[in-house]
Amino acid sequence: MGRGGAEARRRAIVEEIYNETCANAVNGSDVERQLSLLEILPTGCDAIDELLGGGLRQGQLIEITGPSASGKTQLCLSAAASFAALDNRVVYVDTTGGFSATRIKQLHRGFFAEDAEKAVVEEHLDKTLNLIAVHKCHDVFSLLTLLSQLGEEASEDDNNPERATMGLLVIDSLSALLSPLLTKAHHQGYTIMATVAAMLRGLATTRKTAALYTNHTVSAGQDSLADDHGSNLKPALGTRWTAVPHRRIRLSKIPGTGWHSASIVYGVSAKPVKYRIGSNNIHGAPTQ
Amino acid sequence: MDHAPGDWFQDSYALTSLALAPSTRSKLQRAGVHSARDVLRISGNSPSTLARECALTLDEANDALKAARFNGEGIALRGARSAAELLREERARWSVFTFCEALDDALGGGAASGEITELCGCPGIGKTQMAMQLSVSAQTPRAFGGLGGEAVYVDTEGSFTAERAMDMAEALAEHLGRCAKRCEDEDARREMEAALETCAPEAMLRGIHLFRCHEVTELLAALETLGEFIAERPKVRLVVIDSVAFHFRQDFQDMALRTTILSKMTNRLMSIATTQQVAVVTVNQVTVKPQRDGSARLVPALGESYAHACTTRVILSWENDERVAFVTKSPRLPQARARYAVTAGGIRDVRGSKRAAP
Repeated sequence: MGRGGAEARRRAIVEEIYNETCANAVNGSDVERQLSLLEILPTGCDAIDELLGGGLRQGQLIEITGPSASGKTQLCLSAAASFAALDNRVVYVDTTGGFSATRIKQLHRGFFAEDAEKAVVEEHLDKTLNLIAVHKCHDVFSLLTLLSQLGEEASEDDNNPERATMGLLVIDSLSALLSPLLTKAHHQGYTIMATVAAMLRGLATTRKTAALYTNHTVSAGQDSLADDHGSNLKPALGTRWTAVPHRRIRLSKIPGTGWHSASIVYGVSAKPVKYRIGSNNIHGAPTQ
Repeated sequence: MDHAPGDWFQDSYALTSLALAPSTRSKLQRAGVHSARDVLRISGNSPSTLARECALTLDEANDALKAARFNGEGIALRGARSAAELLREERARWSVFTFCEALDDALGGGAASGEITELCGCPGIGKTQMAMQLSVSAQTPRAFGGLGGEAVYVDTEGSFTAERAMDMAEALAEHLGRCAKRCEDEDARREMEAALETCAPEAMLRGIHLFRCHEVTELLAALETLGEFIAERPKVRLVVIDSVAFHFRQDFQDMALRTTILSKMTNRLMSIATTQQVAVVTVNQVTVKPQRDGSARLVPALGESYAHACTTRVILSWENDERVAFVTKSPRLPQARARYAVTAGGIRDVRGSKRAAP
């Protein structure tokens, strides 16, 4: 075969690649149309919803950071209960044993009026609880496996109208799995962290799911500058992680009041809000 | 079509997520099989049917079935449980009681299985006493509503004293004896009396497995083997680490390394707690933290990052010459406080603080 034949083949291949890639390009209005299909769903806490402009948006990554006992797990549980109560599948990755079905039940009761009929609540509770799948994950590799498989599962699942789609992915806490790997001595930890970040963002987009995860705080050391909250705490996943979430919410306790405050420290910001953890709900201050 | 609860995640294993030989997979695909459930449905659990339907050899059909049945569970949602299942399980959870009713109420029954409960407080407040009390009361026979279990006690400080544990065991045996006498139901009493014979104080001490760890490496080694140790002794219901803080506060120069090892250790403890369904109780010390305004206050040791590690945190402290326990962190319990006393027989309620019976 002469040179001409090889050249023609090369051109044919290039053309094929061109056709394949360019078919995937979308224009602005397509993007906008797709965005309008995404839903914003409530977290079950009115104050946090207000902070986020309505709730968690599908396709977005929301980070919760804050010191211990500031309500991170409570917010995760509340969002899980709220999404499932609205017929969305929830995948809850529990790395620290914080998941409590009893608490989900309490929060679920809070979604109903005081005098709601018991049978109705119970039936709905059953449905809600069955929509939440809980994984106990104690190392990062099982998390990676899980994330990749949740991605693969997409193709079959999303075309099935009978099945509720995955609306929310919760990882509580992500930093508990990742922070042991982040040592100065090894770079591998950062590579794994970057992989997790890429997978999370990819998964949120392809599955059109909201992803909520927690990032605990660590002491930033004595000599570091204190932030405006008067504490010297910083998120455990460090500065390299900062740009991963679409939004980062910081929770903190307001000492001596029983109230907590939440503010957005990264992403589209809003006025800080106050909330309180009640026996069957998490609620903001009543509006005057 | 009716679905059993939890069905949805079983049908969702795509054929591609099963570990199959490529040739087998493509044969299945050609036969129109899409998911693990299809494999099971077509075969009706018989490899020969599957082989016939999908033009596979019998060996291939066997592999495919095995993968669909077991590997499927090992894929995407391995070990996933629906919250409904977990709620049933949480209801069936047991707790190791502290013998102080007020504190047990605040903890929802005591130190719960599948969780890490941390006790922290200043020296002399009764952390070790509480830990020993828990190891003894884990052995309360079932006839008395106890767990009839055994305990693992990992001692890093050398503060476990057999004499003191003996005191508590004797007090418990005596208390149980009184309960048995007072019991009015004939059958129950006979059962209790039979149980009493097996729980002599010496027998209770035999049920406490003590690991004495002199340095951090030993502690880590002990925790590494603990899973197997417990698997061999299915009666173990409680693991106590007294204390976590001791070695970690003195053996480390490199703070980043300390944090790393601590969080690895916590993940290990958590997995022991959930996979073996035991209650894990850790003891932590307190440290002085200077405040911005120049004052100082006591905070649990091991720092901020470790604070996230426990499921439930109980802070023990003094309040007007009385010992008080505060439940400061828990995903399922409200914050609460309870008064308790350390007596000759172990941890008890403060006299006169018992609530009226409902």
